[in-house]
Amino acid sequence: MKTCEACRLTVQTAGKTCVLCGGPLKIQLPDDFVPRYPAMDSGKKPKTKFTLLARIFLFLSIIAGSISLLINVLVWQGFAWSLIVVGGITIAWVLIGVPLMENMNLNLMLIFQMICVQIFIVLIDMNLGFPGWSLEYVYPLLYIAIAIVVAIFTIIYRMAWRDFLVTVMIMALYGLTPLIFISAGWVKVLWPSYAAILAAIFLSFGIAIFARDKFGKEFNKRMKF
Amino acid sequence: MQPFTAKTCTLPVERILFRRWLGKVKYNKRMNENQGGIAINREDNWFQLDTAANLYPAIVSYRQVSIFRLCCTLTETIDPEILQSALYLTLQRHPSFNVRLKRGAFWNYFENNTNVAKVTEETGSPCQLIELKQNDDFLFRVTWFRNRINLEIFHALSDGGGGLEFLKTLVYYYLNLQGKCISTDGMIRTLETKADSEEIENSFFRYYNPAVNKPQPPEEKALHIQGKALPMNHLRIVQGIIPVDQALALARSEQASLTEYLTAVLFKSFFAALPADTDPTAMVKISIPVNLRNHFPSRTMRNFSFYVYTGIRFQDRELPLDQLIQQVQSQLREMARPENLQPRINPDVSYTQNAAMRIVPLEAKNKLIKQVHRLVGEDLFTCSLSNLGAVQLPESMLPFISQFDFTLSSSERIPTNCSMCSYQNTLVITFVSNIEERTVERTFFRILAEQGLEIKIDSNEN
Ligand SMILES: [Zn+2]
Repeated sequence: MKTCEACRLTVQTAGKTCVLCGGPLKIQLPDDFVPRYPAMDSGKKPKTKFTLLARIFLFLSIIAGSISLLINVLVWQGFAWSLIVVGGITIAWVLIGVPLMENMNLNLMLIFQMICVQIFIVLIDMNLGFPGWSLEYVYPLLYIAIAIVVAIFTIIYRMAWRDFLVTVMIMALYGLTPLIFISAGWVKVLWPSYAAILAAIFLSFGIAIFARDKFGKEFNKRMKF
Repeated sequence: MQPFTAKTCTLPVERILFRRWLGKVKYNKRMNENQGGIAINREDNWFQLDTAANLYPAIVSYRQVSIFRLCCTLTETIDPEILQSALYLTLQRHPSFNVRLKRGAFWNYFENNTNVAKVTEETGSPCQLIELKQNDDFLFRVTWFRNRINLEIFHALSDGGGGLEFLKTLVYYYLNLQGKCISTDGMIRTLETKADSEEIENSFFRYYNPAVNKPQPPEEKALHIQGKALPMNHLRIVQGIIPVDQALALARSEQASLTEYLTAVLFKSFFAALPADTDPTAMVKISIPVNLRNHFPSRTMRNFSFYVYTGIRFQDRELPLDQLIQQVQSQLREMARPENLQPRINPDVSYTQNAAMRIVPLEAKNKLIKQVHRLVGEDLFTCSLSNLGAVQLPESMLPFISQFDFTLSSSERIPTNCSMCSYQNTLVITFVSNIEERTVERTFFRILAEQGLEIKIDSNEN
């Protein structure tokens, strides 16, 4: 037991000075002190996923990207190939980096990655004089593949339907974008686009038939005012 | 530590194991069980934040964590595994805590959390920001240290009154699973008494009465103390442990209640902590949370409290303690009259029902709330003094528990906060602070020690 003469009270501490006034403490045996709090400095450091390795890769990516940009500009051959390199590096970061982020909704992550890849592919296509293969084949077929995965995930993770249902809805709406390309006349081979629109319609029917109540509840709760 | 008495006994091993097994079975059934006719634990259930809670998600940050902490110190070292099982059962009983916070288009809402809440050993400073993603989306945290169970709650979830009910259930199940012979005596909410809808209601709505209306005079701004900030994520706790009978006798000698007496002492402490050249007409104001459950019958587990302010001008700092007590007393008694409490509930509720406010998108609403809070919220008081009151437990549980304590968190504008609660003959007054200066704490406990109280000081700093 320790006492502070100046404050006239007992202080339970491992230290030699009074917590209140900083003055010396008088020790009265038995000194039966047990710590009542964990040590202050044992606090956890803020966790970061951005490890040294990731930083090195980020640094290398920036170097590689800027060197290829520079060479491309210096040795200009009428073709901006360096944009493809930069885009490729960016896509690699999106594909590898985003899944490392904690607690992100699986479906939302997939949709985000899909959109990034689609934009990248369209840019490459435009860079090559826009023969149109990106919108004709890659865009709709990639969509169909991701739509199947999203549907499967939603069925597998039924427990988390509250989060997944909304992603299916987003996916279904997104699947209607090929309609724009068709009406604008950007695509000449039509069957992949039709298939993608059909997949979007299936997703909508899937919600309507299997999860109408749940979707209604989810909508009510998010839109409650 | 309290010695074991003849009243305590322990069950045979097979009965303990059976209880623990039963606990797990009950937990596994939890997801789809209906409780007392209403499906509050169902996966697709959700409810809106209560009237007071809407504020906290908008203002929360590292500098304003909006957390309070309730601790229960037992007579024996905590067994984390049993505590974990006890938490399963407690969450099953109190579904309004088993939630995660989601953002709608116009309002935040709570929905049932399908993760499993985990207990961890306490590290670092108390009352640190709850990072929802790292906390499995739960808005509270249960930790243990040696003999003590700590429950830290984000204020959007509940207030001190609701948190205490949760902690009592948790401690009950902990002792129960340990095999102690204890009974509830109707004082603990266990699974034998079903959770009903009243426990998750927004009681502000129930007692909203637009007929009673009284314009509120504008509150005056308060003085604030400043100091050298402690390092990030550090918080100093200074606790004074005082025998309740001595403290009550001291308050009675001035014909005051304990809260009134200690509020006056706290005024003295802040006068000492403020620089001498402070504007003499400015006010030190202390905000005292009122548990509305004591005035309007309610069993809700969610927020149902608000604040009354008492203020004394800096020029009156030399007044003797008994005159300060009289001033505090007259201010508090005036504000605690029912006809003065009712009109204070109304403006809070009517703002959430205001049609224009309702259709403002959530993001804009949060910005608005943040602005209003910055302008008027914390400017109006210097410090809080939150008295949780005396913790009542069934007699069979008393031998296993030695202390309860209650801690608030601090913020940039309110660097030092004060709270207290009592259990048996132990009154624990807790100061929490994020500045290095200790004048408030020192003056406070020195005044009490001068009056002859036996004080033991505990702190997480040396
Ligand atoms: Zn001292």
